[in-house]
Amino acid sequence: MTKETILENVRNILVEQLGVDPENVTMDSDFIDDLNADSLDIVDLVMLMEEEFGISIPDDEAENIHTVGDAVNYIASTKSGN
Amino acid sequence: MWPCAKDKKTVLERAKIFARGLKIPLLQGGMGVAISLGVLAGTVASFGAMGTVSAVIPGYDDPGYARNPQAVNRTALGREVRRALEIADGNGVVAVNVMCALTDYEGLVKAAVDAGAQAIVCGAGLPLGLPGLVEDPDVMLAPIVSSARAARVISDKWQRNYERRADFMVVEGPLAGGHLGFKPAELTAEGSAEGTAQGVTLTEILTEVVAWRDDLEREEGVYIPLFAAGGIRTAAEAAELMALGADGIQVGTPFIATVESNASAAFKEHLIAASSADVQVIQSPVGMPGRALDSPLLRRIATEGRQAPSRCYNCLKMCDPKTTLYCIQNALVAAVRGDADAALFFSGSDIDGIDRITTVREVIANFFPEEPAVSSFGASADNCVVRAAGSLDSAGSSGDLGDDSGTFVTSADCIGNSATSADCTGTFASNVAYDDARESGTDDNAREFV
Repeated sequence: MTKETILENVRNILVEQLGVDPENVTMDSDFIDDLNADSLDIVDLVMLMEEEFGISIPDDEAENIHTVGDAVNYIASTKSGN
Repeated sequence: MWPCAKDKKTVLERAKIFARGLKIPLLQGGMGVAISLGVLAGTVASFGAMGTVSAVIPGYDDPGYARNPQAVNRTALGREVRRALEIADGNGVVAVNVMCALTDYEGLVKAAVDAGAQAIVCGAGLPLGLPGLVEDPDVMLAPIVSSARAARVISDKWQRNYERRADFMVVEGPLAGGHLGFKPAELTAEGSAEGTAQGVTLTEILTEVVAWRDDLEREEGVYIPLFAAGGIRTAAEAAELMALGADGIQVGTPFIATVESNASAAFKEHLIAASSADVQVIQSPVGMPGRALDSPLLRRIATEGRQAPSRCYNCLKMCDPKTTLYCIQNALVAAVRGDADAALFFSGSDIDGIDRITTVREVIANFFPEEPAVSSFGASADNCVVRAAGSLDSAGSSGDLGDDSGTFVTSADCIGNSATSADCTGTFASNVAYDDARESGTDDNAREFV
């Protein structure tokens, strides 16, 4: 799975969950500052990404995910590890 | 007429909490610093309701606190939980409220469980890892939520990571006291009965959470009891919320002014003298808004700005002592000590009905007057005088407030002896009982008062 594909899937989740404009979701977008997510949204998003990509994101790893790029890179590294 | 299928299922599956001795569907909300300790929580439980010990700095007055606050707080929490269990004597449920925002959150949860707490209730943050801290499935776990979204997210996370659902939830609306799970913009400054500026009311939140809960029951056969909270003051309000799907209510502020609460006489007097117009929303160093009574401290903050703390015990994860607007630990400890000038008095909305010192029994009877455990006496201070005369039989039949219930005897003694003296709120008497117990390390000291 390429990072482009992962980004596309993450973008779909964010558009669906946060009601943001797809064009505003880039690798640099900060969940809280740019996409107006709150702490509950982030927990929810992490669970949705776990489902979407069939992975498990431990809480201490999730704490380091601040931007869309952080999420995409984490997912990519997990998938390649498999 | 037979009960409908839903009712029948509800009765059968309605939570461990009812099977475990909860006879009156009322939770006494946790109140810190040190307002709800073992005596208040244990007395509430003794009537068959759920009493809650607050885990926020219960050791503030113990020897060695300044040197090692973390260890002293854990020890003090254990002592208060055991005291509550002793007073409850097998009745009701003894819970501990541990705020997620506390630096020693995990240590305090474990100390509470080790001491025998029957439920852990967590708010002021998202208790996502709570089931990982409490392995015993018999200890009930409950988040405090202020939206259906929070209920769902916490519940799903617990299910995914721990295969555990909440044993019950507290659904707290915008009119509660203390810390509030709302954005400041969602709350009206004056704490009026209108709910929030955006019109979100407890009724609306509860309706959404009930819908979520009922869906979960349909899909998975799991029933999560819900306790509505925040500004509930009358039996009619409680009945309305229960008709909407709440299984019970949580009440906090009215318990502050009971003889059994550990609040200082000054706090009780301040609450009784204040009106609903004196209740305001403030910003707490916890990182959330909170609701409190107007006070000299709040006025100083409003006029002078930051009140720099003199020392820091590192009690909160979020608080930075270099920038905090004020030290909330100092302010809340001042409230429980009775230093009115330095105190932050947390309080819920709608306090006009709180106009005298009452008892736990009266507060519970106000909401559930039909319950046998609380209805045997009329709602007047007379019951304490009667108790002082040694007539504990009525309580004993249901609440079993026998020999060990030292606070009852001391409180009643206090009221019986000095009638309506403002100083004699019972707090003094129960604090003396506390101090004695602390010094001698036994729990039998209350008997010395008899």
